Amino acid sequence: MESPQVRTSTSLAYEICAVVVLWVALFEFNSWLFSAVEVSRYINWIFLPAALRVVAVLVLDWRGVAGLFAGALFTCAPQVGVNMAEALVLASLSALAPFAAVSLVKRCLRMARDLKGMTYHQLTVIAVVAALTSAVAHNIFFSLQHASHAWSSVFFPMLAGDLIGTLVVLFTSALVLRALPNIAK
Amino acid sequence: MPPAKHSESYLKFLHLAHALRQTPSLPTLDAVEERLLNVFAAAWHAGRQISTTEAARMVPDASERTVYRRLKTLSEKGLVTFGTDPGDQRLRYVMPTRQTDQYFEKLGQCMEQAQGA
Repeated sequence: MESPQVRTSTSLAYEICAVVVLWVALFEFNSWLFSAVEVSRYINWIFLPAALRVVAVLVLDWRGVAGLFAGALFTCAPQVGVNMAEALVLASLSALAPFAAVSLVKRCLRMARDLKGMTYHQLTVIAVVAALTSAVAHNIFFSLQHASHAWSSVFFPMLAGDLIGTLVVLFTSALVLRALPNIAK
Repeated sequence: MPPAKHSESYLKFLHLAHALRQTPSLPTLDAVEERLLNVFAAAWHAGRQISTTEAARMVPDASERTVYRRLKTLSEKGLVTFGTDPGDQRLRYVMPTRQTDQYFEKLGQCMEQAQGA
């Protein structure tokens, strides 16, 4: 029989793997669906995986961060090619920026640890702050990397993409949840 | 005893789902608000104007105080608005908003869907 520790490690691995799979699937789906509004492979005016960043961190905390890190590493490593250090930094930013945003908003809005009583308004605030944090963090890194980095051409599409993507997914989820009357009513 | 990690995640998921359910679309109405809105709709459809005094008597089993309170909550939900009579500023009328039209339109669609099912 499995010990509780083995069971916990297994469920931990499942949760992280689920986030990785969802990230990669959403990323590829987004690239395929919104290729017309793509600025680069990582910057899109509509970026659906941004919603997963918020949801994974809200629901799974550090396990969500680990899944996002692995997922982002998976999707950005082939692009940055041999520069693994760059891929690691980008994956870390992708995972840690939403964690910082969620932690900040939860603290400022005095939200319960288990999200009890969370309102749609608070969720929207988290989405906005997460988009802002991610865009700022990525752009700081790009500025440090390339002195000629133009903030306007990357920051705004990234911010808008994260925000629109998150809101699209959240609103679609809301419609689906309404159609499933037994969940969290 | 603190909840196990995976049950805590599920609890968080439920609370997140609950927050998502609150997305603005059809406002939630209680029974009195719904009845008031239905009788108002019938009157508006017939081209009648409804004064607030008249509104208070339109649902016989609800007290005037209850109706006034519900008029206020309906107004807060954007489903009714108040206007005054140009000839007599003391007269206040209950009037529909664009959201009222959307509300009934949506209910109509639900009914059509139910009939088609």
